[in-house]
Amino acid sequence: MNNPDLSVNIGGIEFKNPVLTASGTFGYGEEYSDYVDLNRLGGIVVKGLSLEPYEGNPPPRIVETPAGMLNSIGLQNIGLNAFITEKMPFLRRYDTRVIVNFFGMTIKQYSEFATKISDVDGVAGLEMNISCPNLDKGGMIFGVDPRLTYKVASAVRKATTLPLIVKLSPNVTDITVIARAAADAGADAVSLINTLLGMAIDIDSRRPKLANITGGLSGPAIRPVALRIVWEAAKTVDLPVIGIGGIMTANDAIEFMIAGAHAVQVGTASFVDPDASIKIVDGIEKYCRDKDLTGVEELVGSLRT
Amino acid sequence: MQISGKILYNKELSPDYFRMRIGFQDVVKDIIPGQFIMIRVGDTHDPLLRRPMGIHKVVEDGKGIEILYQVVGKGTFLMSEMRRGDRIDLLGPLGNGFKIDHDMERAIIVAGGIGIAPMMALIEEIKRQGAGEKGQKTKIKVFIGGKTRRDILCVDDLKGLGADVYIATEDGSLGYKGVVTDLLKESITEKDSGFTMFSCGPNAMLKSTTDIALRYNIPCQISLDKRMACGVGACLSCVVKVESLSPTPISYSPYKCVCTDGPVFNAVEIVW
Repeated sequence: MNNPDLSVNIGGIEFKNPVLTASGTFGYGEEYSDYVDLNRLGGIVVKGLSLEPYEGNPPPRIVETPAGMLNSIGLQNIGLNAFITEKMPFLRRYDTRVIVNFFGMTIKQYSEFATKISDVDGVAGLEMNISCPNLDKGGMIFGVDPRLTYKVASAVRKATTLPLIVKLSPNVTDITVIARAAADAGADAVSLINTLLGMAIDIDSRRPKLANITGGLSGPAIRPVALRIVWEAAKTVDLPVIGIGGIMTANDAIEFMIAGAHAVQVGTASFVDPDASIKIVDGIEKYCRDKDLTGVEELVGSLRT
Repeated sequence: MQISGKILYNKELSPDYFRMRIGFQDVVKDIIPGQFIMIRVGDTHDPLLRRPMGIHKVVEDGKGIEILYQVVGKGTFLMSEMRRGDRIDLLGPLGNGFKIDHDMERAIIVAGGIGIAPMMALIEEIKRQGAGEKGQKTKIKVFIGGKTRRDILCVDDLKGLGADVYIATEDGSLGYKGVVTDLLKESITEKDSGFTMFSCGPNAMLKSTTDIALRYNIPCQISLDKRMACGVGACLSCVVKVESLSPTPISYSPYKCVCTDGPVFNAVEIVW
């Protein structure tokens, strides 16, 4: 029996397997360490960080929807310094790749963050969030305009030599335009999709169910949309793509890889089953073995049309 | 800890209120009253998320637990359909429980509706730790309120534990007619300042309880129930605003997580 090679290389980062935990759904790794053997993960994308601590949006911040959930957390985070001193020492103990997800309100904040994180030991790469739907300023504004995407990604590219992944929003008319702008700016990879902008209303009070009124939809409900967008992006740009959106099982992850993703991120599934990402790693390995593949990279973009 | 439990029974106590007993394969040690579990209510994706449930009773030093729940939506409806012998997937015990002073002599418990759920475990623990042989010297007053008599649960159990039970219903179908905090207000006097207060229930009730506790200078711990996705402090969905003066482990934020910083809080911390 062959032992399939699960490793993937994305923008110079060697991942032992193509399964990462998605930003905002896995804290800083520590929160889930009693439930998951972090060493078995391809990588951990940490909760989105900013230069300074950020308090996020008022509650209620969550509402469950059919096969999904809306959140309006608003990027509450401990800030870069606390991350470096309080969270990185823990993460460095594990044999997994740490990807730092970050955001800013201005281009200057993005590039300053990238400069400051570049010297931190144990950071394998950066994921730049230009797609959070829950911020008034910054966040998604950069991710829905190709010129701003290019501008902010170029600035960050100049600020760091770390591998740079740009996380894209699905809340655009044409993902290929934005993905190209990120590629032109020198990104090493794109990850997508972030949450879909959504809303829910309490019909008795006629009030929005989220204090922020709108929020980001995640979970299996969005998977077909995510898969389509990943496929569109993967065939357009000559960069590795990381697929995200409602992945609950290994079969879901394999679909994304066939559509063109080199790796996947598991998000909402961790809430339902903390161990979901590990089950997905095992399931991908089994699939490769059953299909007699030598490595998982054989799957990438293998869609037959 | 992720636990595969087995349902030992699941029965309706009053319309829409159920008590479920779950047995564990291995003993779960050191469960603290006030802690909760996250239950997966089914294998499908709708409903998607786990449901947080306060621990109602610790069975035989951790061989299992009981939960008390009200059917309010699809998730709890599916729970009510579960049968003896079914497996149930849960995470826990989670969060911080009630803090009980050793040799505590007097406790006031204020619960609204399903808010009585974590109080049974609390009272049992007070009895274990309280003053005198088996906490016999500990005086426990339980104020329990609901819309109607159907919302008043566990009265016999409470009495069986030696608690004095005071009941209020909004429609007057049982006990005092009105909200439980009005009954509390009428019953409490300056002499009660030596009590510790514990409360769980709807927000409005918790706020009134906190006001009363403050007026009489009674220390008060409240247990909050918020919608949450993870239960382990990762998603930051279940936050509550806290007083900026209080020392907080997440000093960057005016928010604390109900799941990992609570669900039991010092009442004066909360910004209502």
